[in-house]
Amino acid sequence: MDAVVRFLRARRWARIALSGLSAVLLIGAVGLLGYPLYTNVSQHRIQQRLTHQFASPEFKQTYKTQQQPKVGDALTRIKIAKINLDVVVVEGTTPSALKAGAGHYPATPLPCADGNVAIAGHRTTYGKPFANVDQLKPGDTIELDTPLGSCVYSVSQAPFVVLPDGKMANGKSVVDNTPGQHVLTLTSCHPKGSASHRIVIRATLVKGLSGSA
Amino acid sequence: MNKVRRIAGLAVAGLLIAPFLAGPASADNPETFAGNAAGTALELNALGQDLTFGSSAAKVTSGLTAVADGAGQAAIPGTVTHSEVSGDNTAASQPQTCSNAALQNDQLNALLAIGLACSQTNVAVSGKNPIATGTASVASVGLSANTVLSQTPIGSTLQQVLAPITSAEPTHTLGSLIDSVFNSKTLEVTVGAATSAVSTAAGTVTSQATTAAAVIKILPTPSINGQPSTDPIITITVGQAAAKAVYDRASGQATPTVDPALVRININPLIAQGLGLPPETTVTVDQDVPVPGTAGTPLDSEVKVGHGTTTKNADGSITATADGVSIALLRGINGGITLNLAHAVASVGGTPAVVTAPVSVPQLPRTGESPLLPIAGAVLLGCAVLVRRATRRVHRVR
Repeated sequence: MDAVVRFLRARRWARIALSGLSAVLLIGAVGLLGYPLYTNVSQHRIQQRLTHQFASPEFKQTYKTQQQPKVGDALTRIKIAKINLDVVVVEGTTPSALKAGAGHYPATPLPCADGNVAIAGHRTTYGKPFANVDQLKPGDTIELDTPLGSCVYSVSQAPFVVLPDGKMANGKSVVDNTPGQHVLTLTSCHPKGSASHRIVIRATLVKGLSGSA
Repeated sequence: MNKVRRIAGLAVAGLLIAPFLAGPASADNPETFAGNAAGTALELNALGQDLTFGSSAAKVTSGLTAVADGAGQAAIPGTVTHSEVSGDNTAASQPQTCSNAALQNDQLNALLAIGLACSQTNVAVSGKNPIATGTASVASVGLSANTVLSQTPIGSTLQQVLAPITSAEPTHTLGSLIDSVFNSKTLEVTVGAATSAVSTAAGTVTSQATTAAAVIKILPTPSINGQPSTDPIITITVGQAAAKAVYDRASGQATPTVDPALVRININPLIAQGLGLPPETTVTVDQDVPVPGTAGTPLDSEVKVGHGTTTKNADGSITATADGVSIALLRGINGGITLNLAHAVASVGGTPAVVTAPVSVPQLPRTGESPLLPIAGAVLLGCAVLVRRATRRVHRVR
């Protein structure tokens, strides 16, 4: 160790390099430690904007005219009391849209509508709204608020895991539409922090649109 | 302790990187090709019976199969060879096998004398490149119509019909010619080998069928003006014919080439001079030429030279065909004898290997970063503190 110290002491460039390395490591550490916090803050700010948008008369009017919402715009509010989940879901599942925490698969029906309504949400970072979806059990309720009213789904089966392509044993994707059925599908990465699989929660509609949100 | 730290650092780095590494799916279509070649040296029709001599065939496929066949005389054991292999680094061959040809028809047996019929085959697959070669030949075909003619009513009728012609002809040349029909060997055919080969190299698949030159002598040892002649009355020389198809394994394109046989007809100089005929006539492709001086005689003969064709088949392969030479000989003698020579066909085709670009499987969206990020951050922070301490120590000592 003394030899190393003597080596560093004798060379000015080595001392500068050591100082530089120390600074780089410090910056990297701050970045890694601060990134999840940053995403949470970012998601919180987006949710504030979405909540405001969700409550606006313009949004209600647009929704009622059945116009397709733009990717990143507010679409519905999802509430799952069991896991303290209450976030506004945006339209789209692009990385940018999902900074809001949860997004609606554009190819699937609008919330509460006939078919397979699918929503993806973060399990880590960006507010991690779906962090505990693996704790849901059959019978747990999921509520969706829309400008047309609210509907309630009941978890119909225990959460299950699929590969990232979402294919089930019958070859169909978990987000494929199912006309004639009223189904809600939630997807998220599994296990937490890994993209190797997806966890899927299936729920069926138990209470259709009622009242006005 | 330092070692433990290094291992821990590597482990953390690995955990951080792992979620971001995912191999894309890909799908490949392997290369397919097939090459065929077939050649026939001689097809003979006499007395209503078809006989095939010197036929060969070769075939290879991208399934690493190679097959070659040869037949000195079709369907006659002892003249037939066959070799076949399947799989890489395999080989098989049958050395030259010969036997005297056999004729089932007694009347034909009296008429024809067939020489030794031979064939050989060789196949191999080496370095995933299959090759196949088949060769077949018949030494000679001789026709002695004189014995048949003298014993049949046709012969006496022919003599009666021809008598006035021979007596009216002043130089007796034609008469000598007709006398030769009854008194000497009528026909001698020397046929070359038919070789069919398909070879595969790194960049190409080549199918090639070749038939060697053949010589047909009508009345090979005639008697003219009472003297034996060393020149046949008529000599028909059929040149080599070849059909070739080359397939480019990289582009998937195939190129055919055809080299049909040319035919040269030579007439005995004395006969040519006596009858005022050209001593040599060349027959090029797509021509139908009567042999000069034979019309109206028992030697009435005609030569038809086929052309070369190239065809693109429905499956995308191409075929090159040298249509061969058809010679109707001695039509004045019991219907005559028909020879089809120099028929060669080569075809090849395939599809190059297609390596499709990695297909990105539609995936459900990623919804989360690694929970190890804060741990990695803590490790980096620890390292930063250690390095900072070391830096301060170096500066303090100084």
